[in-house]
Amino acid sequence: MMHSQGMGGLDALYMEIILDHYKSPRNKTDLSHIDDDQVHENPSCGDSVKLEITMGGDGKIAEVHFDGHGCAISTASASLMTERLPGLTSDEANDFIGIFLQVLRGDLPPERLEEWGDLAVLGGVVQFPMRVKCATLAWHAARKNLD
Amino acid sequence: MTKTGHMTDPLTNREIHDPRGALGDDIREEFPLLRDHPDLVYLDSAATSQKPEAVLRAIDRYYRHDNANVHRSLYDLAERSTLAFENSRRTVEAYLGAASHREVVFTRGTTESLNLLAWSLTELLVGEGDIILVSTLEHHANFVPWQQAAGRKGAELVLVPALEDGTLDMEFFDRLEKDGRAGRVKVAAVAHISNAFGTVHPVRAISKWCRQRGIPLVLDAAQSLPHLPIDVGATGADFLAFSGHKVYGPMGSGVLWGREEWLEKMPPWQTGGEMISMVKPEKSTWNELPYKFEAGTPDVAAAVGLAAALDWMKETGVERLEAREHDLGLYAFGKLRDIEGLTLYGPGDPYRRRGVFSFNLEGIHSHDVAQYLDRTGIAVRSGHHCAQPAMRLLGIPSTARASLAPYNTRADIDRLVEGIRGVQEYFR
Repeated sequence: MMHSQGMGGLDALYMEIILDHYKSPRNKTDLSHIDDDQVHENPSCGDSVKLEITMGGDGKIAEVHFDGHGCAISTASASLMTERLPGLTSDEANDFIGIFLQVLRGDLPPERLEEWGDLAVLGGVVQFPMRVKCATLAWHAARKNLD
Repeated sequence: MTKTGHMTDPLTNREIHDPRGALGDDIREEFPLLRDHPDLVYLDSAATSQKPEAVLRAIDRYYRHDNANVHRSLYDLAERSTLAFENSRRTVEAYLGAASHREVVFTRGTTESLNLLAWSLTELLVGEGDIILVSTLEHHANFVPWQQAAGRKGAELVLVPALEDGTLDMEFFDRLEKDGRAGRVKVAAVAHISNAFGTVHPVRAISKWCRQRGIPLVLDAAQSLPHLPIDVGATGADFLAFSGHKVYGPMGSGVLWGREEWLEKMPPWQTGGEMISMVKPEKSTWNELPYKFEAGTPDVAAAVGLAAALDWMKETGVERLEAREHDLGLYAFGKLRDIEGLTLYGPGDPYRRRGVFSFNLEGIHSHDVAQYLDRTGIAVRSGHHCAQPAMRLLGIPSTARASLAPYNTRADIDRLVEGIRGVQEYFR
């Protein structure tokens, strides 16, 4: 017996790309050498993420790695982010994170993410207000990390 | 369950003789929200219960016919409102088996009751170097207020540890005795039933230990009052807190019961109107019990609704409700344990737990479990259930939690099981 929205509603959240990044997260490594007080947590669900952002000699982000416990949405979001940030300067990354967070808050239209490739699928999370915190956890961590 | 005049309470093996027989699935029809949403499988009653028609009607009737401020004016309407409020208190008194209405304080809920105690009781009893004893398995409402009080008083917060199966390490009490710390314990607070694992804690053993040492025991009954008949005298506790909204009553209603000899000695927590006797510029004196602890205009309709809920439970039969729910619990326990890839937390003995089933599916996050189940019309909670110390103990960030009430049916549990198989398929 299905809910009136059926599985169609569910598939709008768990898009193929999201499930792929959840099942095989990119740049997820053991970051136990980083202090636990550097953990970024979502207090409402107990999800946590740690980030390591490595700057290159050219002043641009060279690599981003993450570690932590999370649901499909927060894991996929972190994974997609680690693929997208390298190559940006700190300032560019901060602007980029700002736009992402505004889209997820509903202050900017989801179309703003369309030019960013696979990341655009996260725009669909806006339809699921309870899951916005999952999608933004790693991004808040990155913003704090870059400060 | 068949409808007969005799049934056996599966928990206590006690024969229940009720000419009305066991409760059937039609009890669901008394709950308008469930009646109007026949496809909804509501499995989050540990968070809040649904409300029977009788409660909705009582609140409606109060606002339509009796609404005025209480304890202030002498006109007829105000008298009716005061009477409605005080009769509600009498209903709670009788339901709990309290010694007097003076022992029943209306609050906004368990959290407020416990904050009142954590402030007032520690003002009275706790000083530097003393110990406040709580357990690792507490809801944050019975943890953080004591932690804060300990900080204010320079006291130590000591936690009764829990074992991996979500039960309390009762041998800890002997260790406290042996290392001499028992003498420093000034107050103890423990949940009757764990909201995260459904464990029924051995309250009688704990209260006996406390009693022998003159330590007042606070019982968080938020998860037990909806599921067990409770007589406050029999628990051996000195204080008991619960929320109306979890016992089929309205949001914003709650109770603090305390033994009169303690309440008399304790300073008021909130001050203002209603709770005073005489106010002079230099000094005020306090009203008698229980009003000393009820500053400001109370939520009268909430108290009326709460009393209606307790009346509904009594009329339906508290033991019949208990028996039905426990029967469902045993059914759910067996079904969930049979699912491959599902870890069920809490005691392995189904008779040591009630109505709460916390679980995780291998490789799938609890949020994703809850989200999928929601799309099939099944409401379960996911997260840490306001019990982070307990989650940390098990080394897990969160669980999915299905919790029962007597309005659930075996069909609900079958739907849950089917839903869980769907989740496993979807995220495989």
